[in-house]
Amino acid sequence: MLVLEKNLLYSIVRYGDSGRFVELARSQGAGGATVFLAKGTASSSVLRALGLGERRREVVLVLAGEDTARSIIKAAQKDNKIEGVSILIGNAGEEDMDTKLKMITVIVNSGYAEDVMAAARKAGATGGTVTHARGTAPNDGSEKFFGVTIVPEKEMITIVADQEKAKTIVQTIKTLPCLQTPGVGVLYVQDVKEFENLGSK
Amino acid sequence: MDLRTKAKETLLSLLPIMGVVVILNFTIAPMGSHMGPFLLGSVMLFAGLTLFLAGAEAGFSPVGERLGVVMAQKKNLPFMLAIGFLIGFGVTFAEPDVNVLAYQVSSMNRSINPTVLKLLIAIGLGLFIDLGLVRTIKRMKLNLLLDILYLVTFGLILIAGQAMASIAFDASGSTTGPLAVPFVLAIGLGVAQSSSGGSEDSFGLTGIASVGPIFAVLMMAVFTRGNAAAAAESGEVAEEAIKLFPKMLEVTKNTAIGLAPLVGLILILQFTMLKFPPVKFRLICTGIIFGFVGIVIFLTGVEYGFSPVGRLLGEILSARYSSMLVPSLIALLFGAIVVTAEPAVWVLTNQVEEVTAGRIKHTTVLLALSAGVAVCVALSVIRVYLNINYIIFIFVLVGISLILSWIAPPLFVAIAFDSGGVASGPMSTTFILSFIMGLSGSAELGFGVVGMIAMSPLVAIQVLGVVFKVKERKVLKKKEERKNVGA
Repeated sequence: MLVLEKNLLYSIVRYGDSGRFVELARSQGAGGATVFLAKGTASSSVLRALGLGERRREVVLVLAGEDTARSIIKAAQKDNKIEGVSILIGNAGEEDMDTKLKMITVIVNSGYAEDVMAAARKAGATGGTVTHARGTAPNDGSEKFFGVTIVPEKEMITIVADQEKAKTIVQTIKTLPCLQTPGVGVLYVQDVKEFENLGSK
Repeated sequence: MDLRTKAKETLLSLLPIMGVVVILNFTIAPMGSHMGPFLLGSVMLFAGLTLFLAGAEAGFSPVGERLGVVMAQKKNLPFMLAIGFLIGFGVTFAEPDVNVLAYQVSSMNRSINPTVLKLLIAIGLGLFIDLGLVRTIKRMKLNLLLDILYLVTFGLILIAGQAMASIAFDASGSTTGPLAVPFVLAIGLGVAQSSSGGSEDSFGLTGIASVGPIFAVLMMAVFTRGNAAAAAESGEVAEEAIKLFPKMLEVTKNTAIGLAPLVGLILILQFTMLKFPPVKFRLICTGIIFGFVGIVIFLTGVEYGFSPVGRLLGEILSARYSSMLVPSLIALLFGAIVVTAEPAVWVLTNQVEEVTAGRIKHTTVLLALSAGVAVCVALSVIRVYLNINYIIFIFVLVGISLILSWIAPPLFVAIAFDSGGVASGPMSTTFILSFIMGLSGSAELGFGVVGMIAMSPLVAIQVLGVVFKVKERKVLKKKEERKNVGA
């Protein structure tokens, strides 16, 4: 297991940019990275209404000491070929934790992500990232065949928002009528130490 | 929905064919005023297919997946069979590839009503999905059941004659399109899980289901034998000037009728079992609307510019060359590029690589498939020139597949039969079929090529399975030798 003194650097980049990002992280002293696929939600409300504008994204997880993590973010910002965001998540129990930003993670049964995002947006969220995931419920008979995965599929939604908005977002999601069945999902909030946009904006 | 990725895939599958047609136009087969409609038709094909694929992914796939889960929870056989039939029927009736085929058939042979043909194909598929489900639950051996089914098919072919046999196999090849596959797979998985069987039980459903349309069409031929067969043999290529907008209206009407049963079913299921949350359901509805618009544009493009040029190209070549060498070489080329362009083929090739833990590379699979399809298309041309009976081809191809099904590893057998329809996608039903029809100029010889393309993966994948088996043995032997040396 890795030592806990490290921080998690959670970066969401444009599909195909992860290779470059990992290379960059290594050159700044990170040991390695974990990459998985996700989709970002549309930023334009017109596209959203049409059901279009979803973008494929890659999420890069890097465990690194705080200084290393910050230098990775700086380097990624300078490299304007990478497009996305970097979020540095702090460890609980640290003292300088009066951060203004929060990262909300919601894990729900497959099919609910769009509803969660719509509610979050109403409560003030500007965007979010959706990842497919798999639960390990007791009846874990999940099989993959021809790209169709069945039972028990989950969707994981990541949203970053400032503290005040985060509260309303959490409240709105919790009171969604379609999320009232027991066992439909979980939600947790983490502190964000640093949040930076990468690439040209 | 991610339009960009779909657009890229579609473009990739369209450009090679367009390129070859344009090159042929400037070299050996000038087509003059037909090139305008062809280019417009291609653009419509591109736009329509992109919209349809994106819409199907957002609108239809989630329903299929959710349905599999719900069915797995219910554990109620009559209920499963009812849903299996209804979905199989609805999906096939709406499938654009089936639509194209039905109209190609009725344009050659006025005595066959396209809607009736579509209904038959859909009923056949629905019933055989149920048969496949029963097999899963009763744990019957896949290759045994397939042997029985194909033996009965052979008997029916002998009664029905080659004209109907070729249409029957084409029908089967066109059912496994982008709409049907996710649904059928999801249902298969759902049922396999609830019957507590292993993962092998979930394979094979598509393979059995695709025999259904063959049965249905052959049965129709057997019962209506006299008039339908006679008309088929006297059929001629119908030449009509097609106007864009009236065509589009007609296609819109037909597509609406085609999609109605499936959409109705989805709506009923939404309020009874699926219960998608509101925003997700809205997205599914937009997906379905996109899919609908996509199918309309796609089919209009096909009938307006794409198919006519395929047919014309065939006619020009057959007029120009009395020997079959050049046309069959061109057919070889078309076959090879068409298969690499089908998006579903890429899924299959990667799957084989995964199953063999990388020992059979996906490029190898692609090469094998490409060669198989190229040979099949070229054989179709040779058949047209030499007037060989289609039944012989079917007997040989199916015979080889069935024999291989006892030699190749079971997993490869299941994947091979499931992926039968994978190679025959929109490009083969629209372009290759028209090309061969133009070349032959008669209904009797024109059909059957889609069915042949659909059968080539059966041979190709199973041969790879045998190769894999041999390779694995060699590896094991080497390991043993090394052990012996070490000792």
